[in-house]
Amino acid sequence: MPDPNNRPHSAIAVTDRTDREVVVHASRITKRFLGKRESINAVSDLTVDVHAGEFVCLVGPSGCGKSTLLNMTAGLMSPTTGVLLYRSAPVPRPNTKIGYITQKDNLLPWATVADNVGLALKIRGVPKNQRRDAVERTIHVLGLDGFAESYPAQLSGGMRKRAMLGRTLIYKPEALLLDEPFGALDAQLKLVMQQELLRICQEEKITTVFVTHDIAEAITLADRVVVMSKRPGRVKLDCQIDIARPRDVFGIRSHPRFGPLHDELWQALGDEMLAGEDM
Amino acid sequence: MSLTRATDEFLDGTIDSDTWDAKMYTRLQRRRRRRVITTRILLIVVVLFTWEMASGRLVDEFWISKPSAVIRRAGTWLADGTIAENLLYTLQSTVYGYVCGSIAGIALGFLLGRVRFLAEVLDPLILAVYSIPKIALAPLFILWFGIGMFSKVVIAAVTVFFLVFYNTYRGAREVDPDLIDAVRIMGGNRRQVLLGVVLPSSMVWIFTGLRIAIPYALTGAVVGEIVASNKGVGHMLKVSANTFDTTGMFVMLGVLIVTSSIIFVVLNRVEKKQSGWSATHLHD
Repeated sequence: MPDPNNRPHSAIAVTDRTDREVVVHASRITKRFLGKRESINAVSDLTVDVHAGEFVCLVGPSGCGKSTLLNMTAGLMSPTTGVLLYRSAPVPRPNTKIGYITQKDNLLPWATVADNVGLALKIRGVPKNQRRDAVERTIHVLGLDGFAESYPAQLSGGMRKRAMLGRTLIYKPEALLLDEPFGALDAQLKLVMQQELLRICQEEKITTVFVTHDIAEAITLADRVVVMSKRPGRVKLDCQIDIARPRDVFGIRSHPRFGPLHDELWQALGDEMLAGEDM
Repeated sequence: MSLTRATDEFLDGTIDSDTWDAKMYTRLQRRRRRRVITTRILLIVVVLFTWEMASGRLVDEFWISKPSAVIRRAGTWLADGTIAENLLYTLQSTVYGYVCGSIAGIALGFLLGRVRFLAEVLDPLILAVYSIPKIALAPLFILWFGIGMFSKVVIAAVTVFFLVFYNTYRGAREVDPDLIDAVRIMGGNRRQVLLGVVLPSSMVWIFTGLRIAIPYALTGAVVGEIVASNKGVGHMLKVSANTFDTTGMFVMLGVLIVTSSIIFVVLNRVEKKQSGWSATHLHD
């Protein structure tokens, strides 16, 4: 249930979805990783909600537990203490309702782009001809025409990211978790991918949690930006992005609200950044 | 001669300098290769000739036989089927042992690779058995399984088993956990993860194990035959030795050299073809 402490305090909500169903509900969660010499708390007492159809960006210094939160939502790990609910239920097993795009490339290296993209449908027992159509369409939408029979190793980094996006979107997950998906891409390609992601999320009304280091990227994409403190991560600022949609990723920097929002987020991140090795 | 032709063509302007370089290069390579092979053949001839001359003059023929006698005996044994019969027997044990050992090795390697607890329990025990020289087990297997083919199959299988097992085990352990997570989030169940991720990703390791195990299967079978048998190349070696028949021994050693050389050449060919291998298709 929404935590009153996390209500936006500054902006007028253009796309306020707080009245909708809570998709991800993290309440006072702590994740402790046990080690031989020392144990560390990746997140500590973290409370955050993501509502249906919302696009939330998590920003924070390295090691502040952003990925940990995604892993818990994906059901790959569970919180040490506290409650994490996905649509009101805990996630003890891998969450098959979501799509998770990790920072690392994890396409199957021995399978072609077409096989990778069609993998989820194959697992779900979709008949071959339907699958082929869906794969063709997805490959086309993501601009990978002509690379269906290539192997991941033969693709550029950007194309691999697109293939990962395709293989996730093809099964129409109700929520999307992305962990710095465009971090390694060059500036132009990054913008193209952002535009593409915005379009898809809007069309399919996918709830999205997007982890990034990049404040500009967060403002461009999100309905709400959650700034996390350095490890152990807590919510430092929960900021509504009051820029109307649909947005133009190429022109958003000249929007009058962009500057003030950027400053506000920078300020919140400032002290935390000094502690993190990079931003 | 051909070198000057290429040079003439270059001077005429029919070919450019890169083509000339390429032609020169392949020709020099070919010439080098020819020299290597010629020298090699010459060396073999010299050794055989020296052997032939030394036998009966410098060293008693009883100890070292001589090439002409060996070739003559090989001819006789080839004609009367002695070589074919014994070689076939040995190869049969080799193949059976190889197949059984491989299957067991892959199965157990996979199991231990995926079930961490079991691996931790069994690891030192398997290592202990692995560290025994396999020849030491041969008398026991012969006691248990008789002097027939079965005991040879078991010895070959045990030798093969460990090689395939350790490679499969390693392969199954080194599967990228991120790939497994990705497939599980897509809804993959245990079986789909195993067949769709673990198996293909271990494939390179398994192939390596299968490849290096082949010559060891032959070794296992021959060793078993030497210890106790009534047939096979190893048996013939031993019989010849027991009857002071050095000529017979050299014939059988020759048979082994030829057989294992053929295996190596074939393996190298297959390996070269497979170096382009980068993918297996997902299993449903």
